[in-house]
Amino acid sequence: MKKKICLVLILFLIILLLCGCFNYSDIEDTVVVSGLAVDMCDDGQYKVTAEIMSAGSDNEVAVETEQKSEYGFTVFEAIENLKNSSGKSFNFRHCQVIFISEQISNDGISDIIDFAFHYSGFRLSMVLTVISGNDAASVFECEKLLYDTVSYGVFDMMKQDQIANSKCPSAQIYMCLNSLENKGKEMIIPMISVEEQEGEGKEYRFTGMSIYIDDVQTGTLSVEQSQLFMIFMGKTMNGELTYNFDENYASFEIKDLSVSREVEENLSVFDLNIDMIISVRQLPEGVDVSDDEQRTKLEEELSARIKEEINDLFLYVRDTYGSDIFGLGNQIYHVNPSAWAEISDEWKELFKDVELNIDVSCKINDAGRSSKNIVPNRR
Amino acid sequence: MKKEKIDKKKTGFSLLKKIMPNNSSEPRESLKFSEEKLKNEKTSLNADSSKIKISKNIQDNINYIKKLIGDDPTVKIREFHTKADTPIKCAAFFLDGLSDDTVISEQFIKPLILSDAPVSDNVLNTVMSEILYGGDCVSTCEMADMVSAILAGDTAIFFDNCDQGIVADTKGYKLRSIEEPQNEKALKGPREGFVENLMTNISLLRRKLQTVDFKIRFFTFGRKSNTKISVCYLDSVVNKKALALLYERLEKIDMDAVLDGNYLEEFITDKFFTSFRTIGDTERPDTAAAKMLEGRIVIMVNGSPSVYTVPYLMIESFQTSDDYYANSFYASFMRVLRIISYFLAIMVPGFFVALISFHNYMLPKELITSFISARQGVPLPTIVECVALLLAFEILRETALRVPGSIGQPLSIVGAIVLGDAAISARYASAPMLIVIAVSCLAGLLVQNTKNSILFFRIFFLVASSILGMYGFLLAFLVFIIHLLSLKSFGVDYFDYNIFKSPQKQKDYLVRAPWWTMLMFPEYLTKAKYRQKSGREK
Amino acid sequence: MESRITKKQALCMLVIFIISNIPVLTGYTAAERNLWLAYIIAFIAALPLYLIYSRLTTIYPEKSLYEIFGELFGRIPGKIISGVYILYCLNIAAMSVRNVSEFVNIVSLDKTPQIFILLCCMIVCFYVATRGIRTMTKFAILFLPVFVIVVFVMHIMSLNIYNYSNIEPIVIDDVPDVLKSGWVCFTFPMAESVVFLSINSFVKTDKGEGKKIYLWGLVISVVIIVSVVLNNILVLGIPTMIKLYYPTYTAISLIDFGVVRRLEIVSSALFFISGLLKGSFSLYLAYIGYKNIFDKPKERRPRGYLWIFLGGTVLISVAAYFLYPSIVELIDFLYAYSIYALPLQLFPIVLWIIAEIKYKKNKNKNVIKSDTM
Repeated sequence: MKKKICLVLILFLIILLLCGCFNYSDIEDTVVVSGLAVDMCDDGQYKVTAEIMSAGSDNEVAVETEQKSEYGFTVFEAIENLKNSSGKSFNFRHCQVIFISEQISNDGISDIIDFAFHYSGFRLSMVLTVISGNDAASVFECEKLLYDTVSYGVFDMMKQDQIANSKCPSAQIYMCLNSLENKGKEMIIPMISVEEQEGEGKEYRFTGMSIYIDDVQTGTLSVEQSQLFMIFMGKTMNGELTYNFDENYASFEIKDLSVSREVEENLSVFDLNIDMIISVRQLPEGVDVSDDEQRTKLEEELSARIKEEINDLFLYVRDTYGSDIFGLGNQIYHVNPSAWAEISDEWKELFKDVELNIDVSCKINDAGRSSKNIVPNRR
Repeated sequence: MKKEKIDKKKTGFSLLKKIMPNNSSEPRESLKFSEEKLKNEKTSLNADSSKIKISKNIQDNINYIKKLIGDDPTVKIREFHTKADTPIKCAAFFLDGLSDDTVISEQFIKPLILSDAPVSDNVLNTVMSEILYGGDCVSTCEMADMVSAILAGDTAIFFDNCDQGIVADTKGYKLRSIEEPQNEKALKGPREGFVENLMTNISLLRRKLQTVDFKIRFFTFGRKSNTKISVCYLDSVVNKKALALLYERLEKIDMDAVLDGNYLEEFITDKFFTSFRTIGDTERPDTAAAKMLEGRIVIMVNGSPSVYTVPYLMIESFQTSDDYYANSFYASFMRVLRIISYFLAIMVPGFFVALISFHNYMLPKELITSFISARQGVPLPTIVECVALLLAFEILRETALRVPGSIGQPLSIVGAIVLGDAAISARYASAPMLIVIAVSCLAGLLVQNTKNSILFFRIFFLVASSILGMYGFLLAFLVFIIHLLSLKSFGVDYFDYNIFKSPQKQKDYLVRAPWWTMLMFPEYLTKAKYRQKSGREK
Repeated sequence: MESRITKKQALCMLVIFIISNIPVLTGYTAAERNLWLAYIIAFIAALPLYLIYSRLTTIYPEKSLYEIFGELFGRIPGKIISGVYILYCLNIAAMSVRNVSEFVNIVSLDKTPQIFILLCCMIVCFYVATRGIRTMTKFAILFLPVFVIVVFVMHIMSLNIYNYSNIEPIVIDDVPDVLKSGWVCFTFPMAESVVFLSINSFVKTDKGEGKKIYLWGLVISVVIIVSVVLNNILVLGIPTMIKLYYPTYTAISLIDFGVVRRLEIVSSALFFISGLLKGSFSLYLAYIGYKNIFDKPKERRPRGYLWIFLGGTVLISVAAYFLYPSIVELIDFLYAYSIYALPLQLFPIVLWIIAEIKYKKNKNKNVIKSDTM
């Protein structure tokens, strides 16, 4: 009797153990998707194009890429059609960029963001990018420029930029979702345009960022303006500024940046203090940085120019687009949440009356290897 | 009527009792029986001639021995008497080949024949104290002792008119010479190894530890083999609890022959259903002496060159005697390397299979594409390929061991390189899997002492990973660690978890600290405190 | 002769008991950006409760919870109350194992039926629990430093993605929400350690040393929990964090620190192991209760030792399967749990009051006796 019970238990265990492996899939049955492009077709359907890395056979080192497109009324349906069109299982966890065409961006991208957030096959560190024009899939025809796929190239370009130049904002999915749900800050997404050169093929280039009100695109900023935007937000790690001094250009590099903001009692006037530490890379002609007087004069001039440009940017965004991409609403929330709760619904209108007082101070720290200019034929 | 009611109750419970296993701590019936049996047979294990005493009449004794083993042509008998007027009649029995003729004749027969001591009441006293030259002779009144002495190679001498006989140590058989053990080669240090004779082994050990503390106790096991076993320890240092446990377990053994220590090992080990060894063995006297110095007990079996040490801890499988004869830094690095290679050997195949089959999104994207291209055209699923390659490696390894000398080396090289390459070209296996299995097997070869556990747990991890992926691997890891933690070796924890408590405990564990810092004994092993007074000035 | 565990082992086990969910989920998020403050409020509320546990350990040294019931309420009522607490232990184990298998099912092995994962986990829990309390606490001592160090290293690695404005303002403006969140945080997981009192019979504590286990355990776990919650809020931001089922898991998946990427597998491994450890430990606590009910508190291995554990395992599997239908209803279940478990968790207050009265009476009796001698 005891033996029979033990036998039944053991059989049960064996059955359990042998029927496992539901999630088992051999690695050669998977397909790595490196990027997705979402377009809108004329009949209202989404066209999703996936850039797939396929390995060469027989141990070839080169990686080829293919593109596959599928249609669907929602992004999820299109992706399911994509999966069903091939016997292999699609692995989206290495997908790093989603390209959205400007046409969809002008209509509203909240459903794409919602889908990307909920779909468990995606990672939340994926980046959204807007392709100017109507054809997002054309980005996959660009030259790969030593990367395995175009998407990885774009992703690396944006990541490098944040470290080296700080012109391109970071728009990961969870950040976009936070901005969407937050009434005090509007969404921004970097923009890339695909240009075709004569006889050389297509090339992608970073051309600024697009501004949103809720989830609809209202405008774009150029590259210089996005650099100023990053300085405004205090997210600059490095950057170069080039200015014109009496028809001679001089370049400066931002070493350190600290930004502090304040809001006044009436909740519509803001103060912005920017402290920058700058090193001179290309000296303006005739200026000797080791001389205190000249250096102070240079600093003051720089501060004035930067202040003017940031003020121009703020007024431009406020008057032309009316979109609070700077997060001033959040500023009010941080200071006085109960007051914010009252005015948050009308913030879009209230933003148009907001004033900003900017104070910029630059300090020149080092000038590279030498502090004096080269004067030809001095001796 | 009443009785029936009670019986019904009992049947109800008895059914339940039949289902529930009896896991109580009382010993089972069969063990009890053998304990009683042992108590009766403790004094002498030659059951036939137990309780028979030597008679005063020498002819009775001679007839008895002749009846017992007389038809064996190797048993020799020598009857003689002293030169006195009233001679003492003597009869000597010995086995040809096992005993040394010269010793018998010079030390025992010659003095007896040449003596002129008369018969007296106390023959034995006269003989022992005035006549015999030989150093090692013992008197006994049990016939069984005389018989077992003859069979062991000693000489049994009977005297007329005396109810005691003399057992003289005259063993003189050929032995293997002392040479370096094949399995435990050391780069530096002594090159002695134990041999098959118990007394020689004890002498080898005694030469290393010339101290009064060195205690020995003998046992005899095996009804047919009469194997002598010695238990040696250092009295001031030994772990007393382990010693008591050892004696307790040794007394429960009842076998018909003990040819090697391994027979004993399966009786006295703590837990049989485990692939970890809780009793260590060694063939080198210096290792055995070092272990004794730390409080362990050494068990030597006559007829086997392996001696056993208890208690045995997990960390000892990663220690070799090389560590102590080489530089401290190098030894520490090698020890850490061995520990890492143990875990590599167990876990790498399972981990790799889990990653590739279930969680391939965890791999970097370049690796995924290279694995895909490597696995193009391979017909077997990953798990089956892994098991097949493991099997192939195990066959190669065993072949290299068993095949006679000159073919072994080139065969393993041929097998490893050529066959592996051919397998990849023929698309039976993929290159990444081959590398993983090679790493695992080579790492396993580095720690030979844990062979058993590597074999079992490698497959266990592999099967668990193939069922639930990384989570199956984690489940198997949990089971592995809990199993390790629950093992004990003679009262000492097998896997000491307190190693991070203090630097003192770390000194011989993960690293091998220099000798002048090892001032205290390992706390988990023995209660004795200080090994040496001071180090040096650094 | 029962196995003995040291105070440090008990402390490590208690900490793992409380923080077992943390690498993956952080509980009720009604408090939004003030979730960490809600946990601190829960800590303040749990502090007197833990002091009561230490005091009970002093008044009844080396007596487990079930024995205290027997002493205070008599034999039969004590056994009935012990029965209720045994069921509560099984409930805790079922919740823990269900959380683990739900997580595995949703995040990684989505095509595997959850009952299969649950059964595999229960088989291992059964094995671990049968090894005894010494082995489990030894493993806890080995595991806890790894856990803590890994968690803190991951915080350091997420420093470059912190967005410090996510916590501001550090003002409690929505008090009912914060209190509600704090209440759920109090019942799950802090006040669950009422069942931990049953291992008092294994630990040798002198007068006043119960604090070393309970108080220190609470403080260490709260520090870890608050740091993890802060990390989540700073990395993810409030709208994201509220929507996610497993915020810590996602926050760790965003780490990109040089070469270090995809660390979420480490976090899920920590959660898996600590969840299973908690489940098997609760099963063992139920076994201690069983021994006390059937009057065998000192026996090392009573009859049917393995079958008791098997019965407990089957009960836990069934309970885990039917606890809540899917992850969507987890919040509702937690809310219900915080209501029905609250009396069980606050019962030691009643115990303490009665015990103090009896203790004072005994003290007076002894004093009177010594006076008359």
